[in-house]
Amino acid sequence: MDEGRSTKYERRNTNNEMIDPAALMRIKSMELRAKVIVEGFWKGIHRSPYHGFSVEFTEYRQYACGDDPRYIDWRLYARSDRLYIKKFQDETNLRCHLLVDHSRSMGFASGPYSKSQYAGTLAATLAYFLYTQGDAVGLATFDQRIGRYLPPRNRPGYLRRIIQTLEASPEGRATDLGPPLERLAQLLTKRGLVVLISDLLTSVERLERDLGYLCAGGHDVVVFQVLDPAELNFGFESPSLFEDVESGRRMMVEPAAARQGYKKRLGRHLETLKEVCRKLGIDYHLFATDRPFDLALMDFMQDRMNRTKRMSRRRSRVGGRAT
Amino acid sequence: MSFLYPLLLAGISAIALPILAHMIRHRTRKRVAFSSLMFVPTTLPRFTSRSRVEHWLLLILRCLVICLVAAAFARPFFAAPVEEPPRTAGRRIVLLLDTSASMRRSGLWEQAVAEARKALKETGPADRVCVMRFDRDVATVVGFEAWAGGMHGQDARAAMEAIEALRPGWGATDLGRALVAACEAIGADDVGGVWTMDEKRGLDARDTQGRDALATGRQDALGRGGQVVLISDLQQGSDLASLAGYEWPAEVSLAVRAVRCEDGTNASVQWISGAQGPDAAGDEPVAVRVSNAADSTAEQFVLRWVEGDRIGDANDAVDVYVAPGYSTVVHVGKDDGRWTTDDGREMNDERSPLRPSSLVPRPSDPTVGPMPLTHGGRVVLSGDAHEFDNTLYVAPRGRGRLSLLYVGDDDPNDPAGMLFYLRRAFAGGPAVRPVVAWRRADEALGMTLEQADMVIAAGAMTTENATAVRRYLESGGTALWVACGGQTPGERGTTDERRETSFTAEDAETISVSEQGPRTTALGLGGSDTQYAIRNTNDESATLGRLAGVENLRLREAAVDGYAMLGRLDFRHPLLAAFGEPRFGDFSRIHFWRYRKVDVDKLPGARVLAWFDGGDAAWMEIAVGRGVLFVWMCGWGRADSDLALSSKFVPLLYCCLEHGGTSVAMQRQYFVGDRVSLTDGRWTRDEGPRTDTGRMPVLRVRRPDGVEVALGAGRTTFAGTDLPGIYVVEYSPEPGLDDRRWTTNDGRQLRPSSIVSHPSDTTAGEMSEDTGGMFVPRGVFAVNVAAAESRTAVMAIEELETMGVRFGADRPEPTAKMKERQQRASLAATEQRQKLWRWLLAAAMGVLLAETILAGRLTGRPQNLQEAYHD
Repeated sequence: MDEGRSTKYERRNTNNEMIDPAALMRIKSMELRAKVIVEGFWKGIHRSPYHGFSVEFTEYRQYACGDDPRYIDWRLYARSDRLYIKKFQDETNLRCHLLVDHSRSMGFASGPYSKSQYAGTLAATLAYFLYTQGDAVGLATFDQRIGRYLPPRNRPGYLRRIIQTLEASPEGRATDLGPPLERLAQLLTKRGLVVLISDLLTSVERLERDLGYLCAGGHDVVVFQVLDPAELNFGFESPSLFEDVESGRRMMVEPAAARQGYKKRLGRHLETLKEVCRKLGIDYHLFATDRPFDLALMDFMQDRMNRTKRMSRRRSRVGGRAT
Repeated sequence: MSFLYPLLLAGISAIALPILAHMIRHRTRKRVAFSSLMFVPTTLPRFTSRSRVEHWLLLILRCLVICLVAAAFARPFFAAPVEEPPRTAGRRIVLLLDTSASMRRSGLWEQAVAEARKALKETGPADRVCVMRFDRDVATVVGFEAWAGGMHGQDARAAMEAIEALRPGWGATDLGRALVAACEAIGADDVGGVWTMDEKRGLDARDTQGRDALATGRQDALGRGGQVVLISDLQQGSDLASLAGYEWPAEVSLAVRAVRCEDGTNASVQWISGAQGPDAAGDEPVAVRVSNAADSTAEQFVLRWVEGDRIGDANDAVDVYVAPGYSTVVHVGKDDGRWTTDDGREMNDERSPLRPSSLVPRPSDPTVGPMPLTHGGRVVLSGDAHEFDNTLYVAPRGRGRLSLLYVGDDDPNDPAGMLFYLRRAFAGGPAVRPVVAWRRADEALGMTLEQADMVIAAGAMTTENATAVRRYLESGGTALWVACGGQTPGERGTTDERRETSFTAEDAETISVSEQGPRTTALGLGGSDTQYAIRNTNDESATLGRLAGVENLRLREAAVDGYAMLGRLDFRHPLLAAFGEPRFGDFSRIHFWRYRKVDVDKLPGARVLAWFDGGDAAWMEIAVGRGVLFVWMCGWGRADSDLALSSKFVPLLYCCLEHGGTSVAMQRQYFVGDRVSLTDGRWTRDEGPRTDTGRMPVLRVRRPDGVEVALGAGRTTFAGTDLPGIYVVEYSPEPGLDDRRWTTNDGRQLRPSSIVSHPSDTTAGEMSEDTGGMFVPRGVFAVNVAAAESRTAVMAIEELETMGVRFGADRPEPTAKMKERQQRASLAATEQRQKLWRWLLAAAMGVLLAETILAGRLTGRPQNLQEAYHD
């Protein structure tokens, strides 16, 4: 996460201007939660000094022979007496797939709500946000295999169906991204945006291979890793018998003694994960479940904007060389 | 504080466990469900020792619980030191000599005499000695007062001569009673008023001040302490019950000089309490118990039957196997007469000819004699070292005859009449054989009346008969008179008929028997001419008046609406005392269809025993002379009531019988020292002839040693049972030798016919060879050595300590092994009295409760993961 870009939102969070996730999660309806987040986000955007960014992007390019004269901006020609081509981002063709982890580890909660509830709300927020923009939103829940799959659609009532699916509690067992991602790669024939929301508590080597399926398909992949604060800092105090909810393995753990090693291993895992994502061109975001959803949406938007800029620059470079 | 099991105090070391637990941090009870353990390093559960205990109070409570429980298991007690009485110049010493039957064992009595001699030699010149003997009773041989009268040496010699003249008897051992009597003798001894001749000469008779000073000085010099020297075999069968409620005097100590028998093997044959003796026919089983002492070395014994002087031959012997400390019951089978053990197996098929019939002399046997019931038998056991309890005397069982006279016009076969039920009520049983004689109201009663134990009269009688019954009552007889309303029950027919002819209240008032004449006439019911004449000449009112000795008595028929019940009963009266318990005292189911009323105030000496619910008297008792007249205002015929169908009917009649002095209980087996109530049981009644004049014959008891005891007057118990054996009760048929009244122990007058078979006396009964008359045997009873006397194993001396007896310094020194055991038993007894362990356990429970509450507050268990995480 870019620290400079999130400074303003982080400051809002510290000033309690953002919605507390714990307070938000008390709203029983997930759809309402997503609506509150998105609308609050838009209001915050309007008050902010940053304008002009959006998933849709406009570009003016000097007319060249062979360009379609339909895209010539005649108003600009009237003002400047030069021919420019007005280029539009193909917004209506965005097909977003939300891949939400429903494995048993997502049920862990050290607070009033679990990772699964947080991930569901996050997915619902993104779905609401994209749906209101007219994008087609699909959903796939998975653990070791794909549980429910809703292909991307943008039609009335589809958002509600997606949210109902997200409200289901995690029933899966272990997290294994290989089979579901491989299967999704087969299903997703058209390029689109793939948002993976998971705790990613699995082997990084396998994860690199599995994410490679999607990237190889030309999809834009965004990874939201959701972890509980207890998983991040291992703040347990008393010695206890820890039981892995996925494998059932039990281990007597002295938290005071194990905390340092745990953090070290987890940090290594996260760093590796981040490096893999960077290598695959995947936007990676780590979320603790006590982080406001506004920031998650903000990160998502920021990534999309950066990605659009990168692609535009890339096209410009390609176009310049071509001309 | 001492401990009975001090080794168990080692359990206190278990407090190391809670201390260790407090020092080790080991909380494995918390379980946390975590998302993934892939990043959690493997760490061994650490038992980290803590140098600082966090919960001191909890630790102290837990340690305290362990200490208390360990201390409780160690059985703590406060050892009470034995306080020795201060030794003064003189002592009161009671030499208590055991003369029970167990002292008849070989060599014991000689040892006892030697010990007594030794004890007397050890007495000092200032001591005062009393010699007492005891078995079941306690008797003073040489009292304190006799000791004080002479010089010390003379006293000792005289006491020794008295002791040497003693012999062990046959009684049981009541050691507790003897010890109590010895203590009381010490306490009752007063030396102040006893003077020697020298002192008497030195004191002026008028010098009372000097006399008192001398008496006080003597008392101070002697002190109040005393010593009981017990010379006994200390057998286990000794009775210590008297010591249970007795507080042993602090200043009295006990010195035991036990005598021991070398050979402890002792078996006995005993009568089973409550068992029936063999009957005359010899076809009922007889059971005897063969017991073997705990310290016996032999297990095989032989039983042999002996009749009179005739001992059974070798083939009559039966082998019995009894392990030491155990007993077995040997039965004589009813059918084949074989000896069997209590588990049913036959003891010896070929050698079991001992049959109950052998208890009855066979007519062909000239050695037995012609009168079967005057002869008993005995079962002799052999095979042990001591013979004092090897003989069981058995008296044959007889059925007493009970004579009842019914006066009334009932038909015996009329189920609506009273006689019908009366004959069935006295149908007889194994112990008594009632005979109900029936006389019509106008028949002469004659000798039947004299021989009757009880007279039951229904309705009116002739003047002659009423007068005869009155005389019978005055002579001590018992009679029950039932008012039938001027109509004999048989004439009234069934209940249905009675209901059809029920009368109104006006009728009841007008048909007073005394004024209106026969009731049958008033009601229009028929009757024979003879009955009619009887009722004309002697109605019920007149009959009752003559019986009670009252003139102008009026009986009236009561007005009964439906039925009446008994509203109140006097359960304090002996007649109804048997029904005093609530489960027996429900008379509400008895309905009385009709009854008669009488003015009780006009009956002198009448005591109402039961009242009808209308307040009229139902049952009354009237003392007539020495006899008792019961008056029932309603009969038990079906026309009057359903009393005859009630479960109360039969016991009520028997209660009347017994209250009148005729007992139907019977006992023929006694132990040595028992007081034989000769009015109990009518075991000579059936053979007892009566003289024409009705005067009393004279009876006497012939003891097993041949001595005949002439029974004194006015006594009904025979207490001379100091020898085991068969006692024969004899009577003299010569009339007129004894016409005195007899009274029971509680002062109740008995009529002579009850005494005929049960003469008495005893306490003052003098023995004589012959009273001058010709006596005929009438019956027998057997006296045996008490069963407890056969438990000859040595009693632990600590049993006396547990009863509170204080031992002196000269307590018998036991052997090392015995000493340890005795010391342990003594400590155990002391601990058992104090029972401090219960308080310790209670304290431990309290501390445990406090620890649980405290631990619950201090160590709350996390309810969920959030608490675990935020812990």
